Parts: sequence; C-alpha cells; structure tokens
Amino acid sequence: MSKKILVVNANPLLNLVHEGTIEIGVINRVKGFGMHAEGKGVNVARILSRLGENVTVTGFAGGA
Amino acid sequence: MRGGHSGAWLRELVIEEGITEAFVETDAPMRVGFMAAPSQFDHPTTLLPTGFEVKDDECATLFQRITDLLTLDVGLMIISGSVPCHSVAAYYPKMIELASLRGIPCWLDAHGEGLIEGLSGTFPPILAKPNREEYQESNNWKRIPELHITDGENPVEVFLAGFPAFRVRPPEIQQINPVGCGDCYLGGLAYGVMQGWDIEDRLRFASAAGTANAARQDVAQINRAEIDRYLETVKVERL
Repeated sequence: MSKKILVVNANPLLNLVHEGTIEIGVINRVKGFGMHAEGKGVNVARILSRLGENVTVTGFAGGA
Repeated sequence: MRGGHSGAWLRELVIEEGITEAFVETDAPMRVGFMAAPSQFDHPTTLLPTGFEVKDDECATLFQRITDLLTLDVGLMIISGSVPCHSVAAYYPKMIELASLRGIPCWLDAHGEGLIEGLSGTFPPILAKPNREEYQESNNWKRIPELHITDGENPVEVFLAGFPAFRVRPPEIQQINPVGCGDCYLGGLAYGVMQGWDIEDRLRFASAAGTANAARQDVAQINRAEIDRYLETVKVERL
C-alpha cells in the first residue's frame, strides 16, 4: 500500500459555474449551473485522486 | 447544523472523486463563488469571495486534525491556497513545522498572508510554487530547496537550493481557461514524487498537466490520457 498524500486547503471554494456568456445589468436566464468543488488544494487533491493516489483533504468547510 | 449547507455540498463532491475528506466544521459558511466561462474568451468572468471568519477554537481543531492525520502513513503534505481570514495565517508555519518534525516533506502553494507567514517559520517548506506575482510578495525564497516560479504560458523557472536549475517550456496550445493550471502543475509534480520519478520526468509531467487544464473550459478536471497527450512536446532545459 503506497503512502498517503495529505492536502490542507484552509479556504476551499464551492463554485457555481455557468458555461456561457453573461450580460451586466439585465436578467440572464440560463439552463442551470454546474456545482464544482474547488479551491487550490481541492483541485490538487482531485488530480492526484484521478491519477490513482490515496489522498485526504482537510481545511475548513462550514455547513454540515 | 452550523454554517449552512455549503460545506456538506463540498464534502459530497470531494467524496465523489474518491478523496477522503477530513474538513473541520465552522460557524461561518464556507465561500461560494460564481464563474461564467464562455468558450470564446481565454479567461472566465469570476466572482470570488476572499474568505470567511474562522474562530480560534476552529483553528485549533484544524491543527489537531492535521496532527492526527499525519500519524496515518502520510508521505507528503501539501498546503495549498489562501487563508480564509487573518487568524489562520499564523498556523501555516506551525503546520509546516509539524510535518517537518515528523520527517514528512511539506509543500506550500499559497499567496498573501498565508504565503508570507508560511515562509517565515523555523522550518521552510521543501517545495514552493509561486507565480511571478506571488514571487514578488516575499524575499524569503532562498531557503526553499525546490522552487518553481510559474508565469502563465511562459516557461517555469525551477531553482534547486537557490540556484537556477531548469527551465520548463510548456507546449503551445489554444488556451481556453488558465484557471487551475498551477494546481494541475502541482498535482503533476506530487504524482511524480510519489512514483519516485527523477526531476526531469516530474517537470515534464507537471507541465503537461498544466497544459491539459488550459485546453479545457472547466477547472482541474483533467485525466491521465489528457496529460499524456502533451508529454512529448514539453521542453525541459537544464540550466
């Protein structure tokens, strides 16, 4: 069993993503948003996990 | 329930990726951002909250959590990203010290207060990856054994023990979204370390990972096949 990687991401981000343009000062009607877990550490952890590494991520995430 | 439900959502998404989550609960809700990424521009429009309040006891809980996690056969610790508020920055050097005293290499990829504090502790991180702008934020880089200075689409300058060692030129591509390229680069470096690769192979893989990310609209969603596609066209120059 290979060793683990511990990633500390103190300030992660929950990102609402719209894949298209927006216009300022009007109502932008869109199909919906993607909801992505981000923040630099979460991004690093995701890449490592997809490559097959054993990754744990910690930090602050308010909202149980 | 403390801090709303945004943290629960983050945890779910992290677990879906096969990552073990060990986040610490806070009274304040975590940050939620917005990104509009139209394909015709080379940079998305983002609304990015800078952080949230973290109490002293919550900082202490995170420090204890890391202390506990480091007993579980950890081969590498990576501190990545900004701090959510001022009080957390003072913990960065303590975290680096904690890992160092246990013989676990600790990397730092941060900016602002977290970067300044993280570089000023008794123990330096083993590796840091500032971009050009972050590099200007400190003059405390000489102590870092392995320093990677990134500069967008330009070559990465790598310093070993304070001396220029490598220049890594990424492949030329049609960039779609550069957000997250540095994170993919760092992930690629870490993967190479865990595989026991030599530094040139690590640099090649890291640069290919950053490039693969820039070729996509979303952020840090690449896979192995996309990285492999660019490996041959990364140029690693020994200085």
